[in-house]
Amino acid sequence: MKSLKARLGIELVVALIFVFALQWALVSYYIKYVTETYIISRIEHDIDVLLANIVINEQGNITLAREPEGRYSEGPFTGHYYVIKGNNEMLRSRSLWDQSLDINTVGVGATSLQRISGPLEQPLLMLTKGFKKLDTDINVTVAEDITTLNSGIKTMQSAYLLLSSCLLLLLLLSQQWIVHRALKSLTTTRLNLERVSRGDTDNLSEAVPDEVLPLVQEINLLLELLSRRLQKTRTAVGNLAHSLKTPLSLLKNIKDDPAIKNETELLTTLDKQIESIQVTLERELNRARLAGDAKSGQRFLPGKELPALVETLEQIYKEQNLEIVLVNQQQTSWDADREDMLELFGNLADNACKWAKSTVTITLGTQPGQFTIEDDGPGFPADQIELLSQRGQRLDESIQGHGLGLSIVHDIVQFYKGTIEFEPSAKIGGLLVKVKLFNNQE
Amino acid sequence: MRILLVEDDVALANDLQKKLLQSGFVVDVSHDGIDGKFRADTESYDAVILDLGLPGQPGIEVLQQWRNDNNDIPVLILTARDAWHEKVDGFKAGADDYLGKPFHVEELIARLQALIRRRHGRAGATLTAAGLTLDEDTQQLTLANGNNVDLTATEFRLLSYLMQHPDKILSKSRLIEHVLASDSAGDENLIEVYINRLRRKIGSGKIETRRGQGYILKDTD
Repeated sequence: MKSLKARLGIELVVALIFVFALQWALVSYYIKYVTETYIISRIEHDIDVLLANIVINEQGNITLAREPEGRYSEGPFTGHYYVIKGNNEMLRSRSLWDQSLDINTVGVGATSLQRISGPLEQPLLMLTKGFKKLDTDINVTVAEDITTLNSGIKTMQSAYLLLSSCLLLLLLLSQQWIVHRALKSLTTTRLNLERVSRGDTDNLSEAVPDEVLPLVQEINLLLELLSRRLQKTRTAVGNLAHSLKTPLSLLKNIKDDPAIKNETELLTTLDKQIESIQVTLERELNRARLAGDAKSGQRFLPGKELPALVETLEQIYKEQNLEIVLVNQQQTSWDADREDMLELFGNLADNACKWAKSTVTITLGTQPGQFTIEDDGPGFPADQIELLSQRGQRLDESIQGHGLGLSIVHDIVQFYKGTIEFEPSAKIGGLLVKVKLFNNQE
Repeated sequence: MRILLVEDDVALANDLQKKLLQSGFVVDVSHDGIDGKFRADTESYDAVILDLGLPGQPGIEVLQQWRNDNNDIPVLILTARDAWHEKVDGFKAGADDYLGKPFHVEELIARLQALIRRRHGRAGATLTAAGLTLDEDTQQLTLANGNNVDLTATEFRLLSYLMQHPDKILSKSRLIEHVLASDSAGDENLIEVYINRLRRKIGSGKIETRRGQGYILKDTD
């Protein structure tokens, strides 16, 4: 199905064309009828005058007592003609000149109305009446040129057509405007839906026309159902992942068991598999959180959360005596979930702390979503820095969780439509990580 | 050193208790939040290992209550909930360290030792007192003359506790609590036995007996 607006428009045009055409035909017919009736009454009058003027002598010959003046005799082909047929002779108006008319002969008391083409192709309306005067059968015929009448009607018709077309156009435009206005509530709903998909809101506004309301309500119900299902799935994934971690802890420490203490190969396999399960768990937990709840959590306030994160890191790395510097505190809130942003900052800063000798610097940019984290550790050789940008790249296996942290970071950066770059830190010599989120909002 | 382990998973708790004991920790186990809170309120521990997902009362609430009650016992949170926002919230609640599951027991022990060392204001993994040097990682004792002496697990726990509290009278009951894992009638005699064994290894003059009060490690330095 195409545009509702176009369909309504086409239907209206067809209906209006039909109405206007019918009206046009009726009006044309009626005007023609009225004018012709008028002309016929004039012709009948002229016939009566002619009849009164007919003189019949003893031989039965007819003459006109008085030649009609004016239009019938002023010159050739004036458009007004008469023909009187008696028993033997025929009287014709002078205006007929040498032309003759194709006249039907009628009996006494009968009439015949003809539309014929007369001299000079004149369209003629011609009435013939049969009389009996003094025992002589007489047919009196009067014809009148209706060229002007026809052209008048034609002018009227085209004027009417023009007017109708204008009206049609006007009506169509106003109808489109009305439809557009009526459909505007649908546009509002569509924009609302876009906001839902962006995560700005979780249901549609029900301030819509009654016709649209049931649809909107159904969509809202569906959205609610969907979000509840998502929430349930997310909780289930979270619970599953978390509950697996405790048994994994036991497995991870099984190597101290005297029974397998010396099975080095077995222990290596075990370690590797446990590690792999752990990586999968962490990553899926992160993804479940990302997919499940981009909107319901608290917004991220860097000015409040980052100092707390720095304190946390300083506690964790207390033994290493690291200095973690926070540059450019931002007081504005970011359009992002607190948990996601803490996970992003936490993983990157944690990596930096693992490598750093003494200092880690977290610098916030001027725009929300922009920041860098750098350390004064050994950094990466140029050929390996390239690898850092590749999603899912497992880095130094000896530093636990490094690759995992990065894959989580990549997932979060991608979710918030951001970019992440790695380069050597010019200032303090280690690795510099540049993050820029919310690239879609510019 | 005496540790409270609040962990609802029985298998993990038993495994940890066994392994921590080998590393010189006496471990009391509590399986729910309310009991765990009560124990730390009423007894003396060197540190607490606290799970967050506990029956009875969530670990984070237990921790907050301790801190509200000015109980500054070192707390290490050991939990499966180790996302960064959870870590931040854990430290905000007053945790001293945080370890996510699954973990290596070695890492837990190292962090626990570091936590307790920090509590006693020490930087390294070695204890020094009365001319003795005790390495917590290797559980090896070095005497003033440079000779190395091996210790059993219980001897190590006893000596490290004494060295953490030099020049202080430590009652037998306190030593039992912090050094012995069992809780039987003959414990007082057992302490005497271990003290005598230690005296043989480090020299008889270093640990003095105070009748009716307990023992004291004389830090002559």
